[in-house]
Amino acid sequence: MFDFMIAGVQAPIFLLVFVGFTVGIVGGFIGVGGGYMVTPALIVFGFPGYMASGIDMTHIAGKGLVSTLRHRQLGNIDWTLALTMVAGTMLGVELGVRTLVYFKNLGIAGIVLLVTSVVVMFSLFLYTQIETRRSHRALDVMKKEGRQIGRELHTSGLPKFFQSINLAPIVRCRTARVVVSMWVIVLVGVVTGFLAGFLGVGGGFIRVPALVYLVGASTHIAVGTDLVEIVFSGGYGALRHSIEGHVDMMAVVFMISGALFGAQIGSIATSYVRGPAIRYVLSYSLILATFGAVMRLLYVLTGQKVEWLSLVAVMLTLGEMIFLCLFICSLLYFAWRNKRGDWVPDWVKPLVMS
Amino acid sequence: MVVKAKGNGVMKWWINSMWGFWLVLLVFSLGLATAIYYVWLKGNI
Repeated sequence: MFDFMIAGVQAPIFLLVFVGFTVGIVGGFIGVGGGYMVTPALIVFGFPGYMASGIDMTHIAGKGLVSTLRHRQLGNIDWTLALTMVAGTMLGVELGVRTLVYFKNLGIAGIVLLVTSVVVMFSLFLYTQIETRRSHRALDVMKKEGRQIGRELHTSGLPKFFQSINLAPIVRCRTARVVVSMWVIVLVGVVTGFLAGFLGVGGGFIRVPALVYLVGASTHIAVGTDLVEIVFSGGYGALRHSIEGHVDMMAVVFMISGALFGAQIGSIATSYVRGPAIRYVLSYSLILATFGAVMRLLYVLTGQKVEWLSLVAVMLTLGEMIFLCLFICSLLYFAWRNKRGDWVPDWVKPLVMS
Repeated sequence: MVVKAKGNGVMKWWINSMWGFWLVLLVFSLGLATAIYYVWLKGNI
């Protein structure tokens, strides 16, 4: 009854606002644009693929800006790290797009893309999940021993290795409290940019773990800093798509109206939790997106004849957004109860600020 | 400060175990996604 034509599609307005809101919360919390969730959702709503991509990118630019401003207020952005990495990211994206064109000419781009997505997302999930559980246990022990704990703990040994590379110029990132070779930051930008350009996504879900596990930034700083990158890439993408006529502003307005609130909630929620809580949500996002990609891969491999595989992929995409949003809101609620001294589950205590 | 205990039994396990909580939320989310699909989206795909 409230639906009307957007981009030639009878678009469900409530769903556009709902998707904007849920992905806004997730994006503000784990520092991703959420394109890997939004674009498939918009296609399911009936938008053509190119339109879905354009609307998604424009909404990401707006939402990224809101989240960035909020994270700036929270002191979660390291500008040195962000601006140094942008240079590497641009080069990486260009290399990624060229590699994609190479596979497209061979006629195997679709399969290669899906297989790469599955491998990259599952590997990142596995490492993030294992490391985060280790950190969670360590925090639990520290809490039981009554030791003072800050908002971050990660147990990976990789940052020490990368920080020990003594290749001039050495960059001092004051907010992130990291001293590292500029070439390491640029390399991280190139690699994550390559994957982002190749997979056709913003790349936040690759950059955040890279900033934490390779550069050694805290999760909060990684989230804020990555959002700066998203404003750059989203802004450029939105401009390009607008010029090509791939953007329907009406759809963007509805999505952003939800995202404005969601992004605020997600960004503010980061100040009530410790680093491992953010990494847990990131890893859940990765495994659910992996399952969605596996279903799409199976659908393609079976000649697009088994309809229920496509349906399961749709359910996973929508379900993932709702699940992540509910998990973040639950953490926020538990953090509030914990602050008041009310009962919270034992597993939550090391994850929220007291 | 008084810390109130939650009720015993199966419900407590679901909330007090991380995996239990995870599973409850996931099942609820997928159920809601299915409902959204059948109410608004069926026929669009």
